[in-house]
Amino acid sequence: MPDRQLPPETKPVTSLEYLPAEQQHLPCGVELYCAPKRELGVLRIDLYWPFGTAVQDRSAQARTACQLMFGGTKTRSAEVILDEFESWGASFSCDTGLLSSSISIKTIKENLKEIIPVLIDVLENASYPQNELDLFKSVEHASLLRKMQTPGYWSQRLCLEALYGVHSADTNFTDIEDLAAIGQNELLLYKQTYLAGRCATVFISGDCDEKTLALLDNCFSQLNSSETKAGVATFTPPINQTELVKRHLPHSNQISLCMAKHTNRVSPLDFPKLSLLNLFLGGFFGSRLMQDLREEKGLTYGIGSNISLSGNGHTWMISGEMNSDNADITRDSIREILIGLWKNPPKGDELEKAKRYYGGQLRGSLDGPFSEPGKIQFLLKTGYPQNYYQQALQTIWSTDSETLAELAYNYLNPDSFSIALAGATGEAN
Amino acid sequence: MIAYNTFKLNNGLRVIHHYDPDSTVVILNTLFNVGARDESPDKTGFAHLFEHLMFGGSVNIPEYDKVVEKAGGSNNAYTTNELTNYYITVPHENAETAFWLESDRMLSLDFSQKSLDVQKGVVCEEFKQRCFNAPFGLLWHHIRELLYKESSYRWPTIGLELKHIEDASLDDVKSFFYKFYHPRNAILCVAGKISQEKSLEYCEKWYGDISPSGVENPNNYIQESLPISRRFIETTDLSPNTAVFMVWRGPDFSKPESAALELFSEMLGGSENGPLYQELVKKSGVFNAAECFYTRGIGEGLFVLYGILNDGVEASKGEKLLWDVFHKAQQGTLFTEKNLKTAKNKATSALLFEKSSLINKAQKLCYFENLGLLSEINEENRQYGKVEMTDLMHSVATISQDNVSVIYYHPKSNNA
Repeated sequence: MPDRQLPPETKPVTSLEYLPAEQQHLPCGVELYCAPKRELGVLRIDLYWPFGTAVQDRSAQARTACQLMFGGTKTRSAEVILDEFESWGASFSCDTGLLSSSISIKTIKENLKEIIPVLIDVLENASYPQNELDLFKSVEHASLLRKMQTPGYWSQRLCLEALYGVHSADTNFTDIEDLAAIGQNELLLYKQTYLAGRCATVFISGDCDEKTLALLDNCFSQLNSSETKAGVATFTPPINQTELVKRHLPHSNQISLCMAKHTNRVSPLDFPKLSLLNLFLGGFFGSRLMQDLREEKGLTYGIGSNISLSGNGHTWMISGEMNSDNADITRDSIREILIGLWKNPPKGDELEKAKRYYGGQLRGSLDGPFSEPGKIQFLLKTGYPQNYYQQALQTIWSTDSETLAELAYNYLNPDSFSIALAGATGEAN
Repeated sequence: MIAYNTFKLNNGLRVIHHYDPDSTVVILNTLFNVGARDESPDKTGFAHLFEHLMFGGSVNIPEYDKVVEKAGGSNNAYTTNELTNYYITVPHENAETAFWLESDRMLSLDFSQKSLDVQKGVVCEEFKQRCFNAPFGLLWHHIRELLYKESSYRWPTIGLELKHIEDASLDDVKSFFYKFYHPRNAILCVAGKISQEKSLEYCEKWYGDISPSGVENPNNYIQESLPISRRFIETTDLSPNTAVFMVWRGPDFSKPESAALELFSEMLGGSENGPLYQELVKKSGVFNAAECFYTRGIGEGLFVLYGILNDGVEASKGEKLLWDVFHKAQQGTLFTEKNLKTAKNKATSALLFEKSSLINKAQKLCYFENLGLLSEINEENRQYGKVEMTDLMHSVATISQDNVSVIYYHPKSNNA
């Protein structure tokens, strides 16, 4: 019988052997990253552009332009495009963020050659037919109205608008009037400027080989090569309105709380330290927010924090849902936890645990045949170096309690957060 | 193809090993043969509440999550009407810690009133968030209430009402654990960068001494006959648009007809090129969403077809339009052999992508073993391949307006 009181020895992940796939070029000149994994039978192609909602003229424009690329060309209707993909078991999806747009194509390897002609047509000749645009707007409008019934939608929206302003690129919430006003010509212009096929960076992951690369080269060499990459977006500085904003939702019996603040862009050496600090705040199950508010007090199903890329830097965000009676106690607890991070910074076992968690998760996130594109896209968006992930792990292991206290003092002053409550606030809007 | 080996410990624990040399992690996926269908009608939501308590510490390890995190790992779980599934992922060099953790909570939990009280609060907030603060949050309550009158499938996993969760006692927790959480009622899959020999060694070491007390869940439930009349609920919802949901019960996962129904639902409403979307959203513009899907469970299959209407359209008109499209599909006038081939190709592709994920493979291996169909895990695609057009038509032949369960959701006034 084993001694169950005696834990097996565990080893921390202190180094990574990983190096991201190196940039290559297809013979036609298109940038390429390739992460092959044989014998899967399937592969994924991601086309990536470094432009997203930050460069749009009105909300929903960037996302509509990306999604509706598959809405029709001069010679193919939306139905024909979808049918040609689906009949070969292939699928496509589109994603638009603040600083990037991408198309992801999943296909059975042997069927890639069948969908390449359709892909060429979409990239070269997307025409944004009026009927498809009208339908898209109608469906999106209805979907948006449903989202607007949830407290979580409003707390995040109000909080980010208080931080960055209603029409800021950093808030990125679709305005119903903007959605209605989007026109065919502006989508064509957007596509031509920011989503030119020849200007995409291509990622291939999964079951790919030389034949795959030849097929893709054939695809991209047929695209118009006179297109040039667009310039970069400009961002307005944050407003950082820190007073409390509320929205009452008459049918809600919970409150969604959101707190956010802006932090200027930090170096690749400092970002892992902020990520580690975020872990202690609300970045994992063992965080102070989760342990105190969920596991100790049972006030919430989930509360957490994250630090994401904004236009000029990063956005810290804390969010969670709770019973309306518990909103005040939750806010007080969050305040105490934020202050506690510099008055009583993580050390000893708490610090060691988070570092080990970070190392294990970082290595685990590289697992699997389709992990590579996301890792490299993060580097492209941030401009961080190729060896960022190894450096990050070294930085984590050399970060001490005093450094965390200093960072918490500088970055997590509770009075520097915008706060929004939505749901059963009991107050008229 | 998913390669695997199986062995069984003396205490009855069934173990499946899947080796993936390319991975850097080891996953332990544990399926317990217990779900919401095993609850008492006055104590619903308990299996799910219990899932939360499994993270509250075991007899020798008071802080489960702390140990997982210190090993660089992560973990989670889910509960359905038919099973409860736990999974933990750790760096491969820390694999033994996962065995230690998972075996200790199978050995015995550290039952505590405080942990129960806290998790009741957590689950009540989850209940409110999912059911009362999102459009169609009570859909599965309504669907199950309509489809079943006696069977323990008549409530959703989250539970019938908050009070059932609030009333759960420590005695309930203990008796549930001793009845369902033991080696004979569990299946363990060890997957990732760990050899079969090492897996067996750790299994014997950490699980071998757990008492074989308890019997495997016999899974005896009231076999409720299929509805033979139209069942109907009309209610209000947070959705700003009226919606119509139509549901039928059908064959479970083990029946070949269920694969035909899955393909039929994919062809009818699994894509924007399907007739539901094309006719009702795109051409007529009456709906802003129209879809259908077939869920293939262990003891039930559910065909769900729904549409969300645009402003000003009556629910009854919406239902009629949904029926018009469905009837055409049922009569075979909408689909060609090409449509069927497309649905099969999509299924093939989905299966291949699913098999590229280690956690998906581990969970699927346990699921098939629980069904008693492990040897058929690599035959799924063949099952779809065998479906002919006549099978499709046969599978939906009995669906009619006389055995449908229908829900109309109308917008609440003063929506946000």
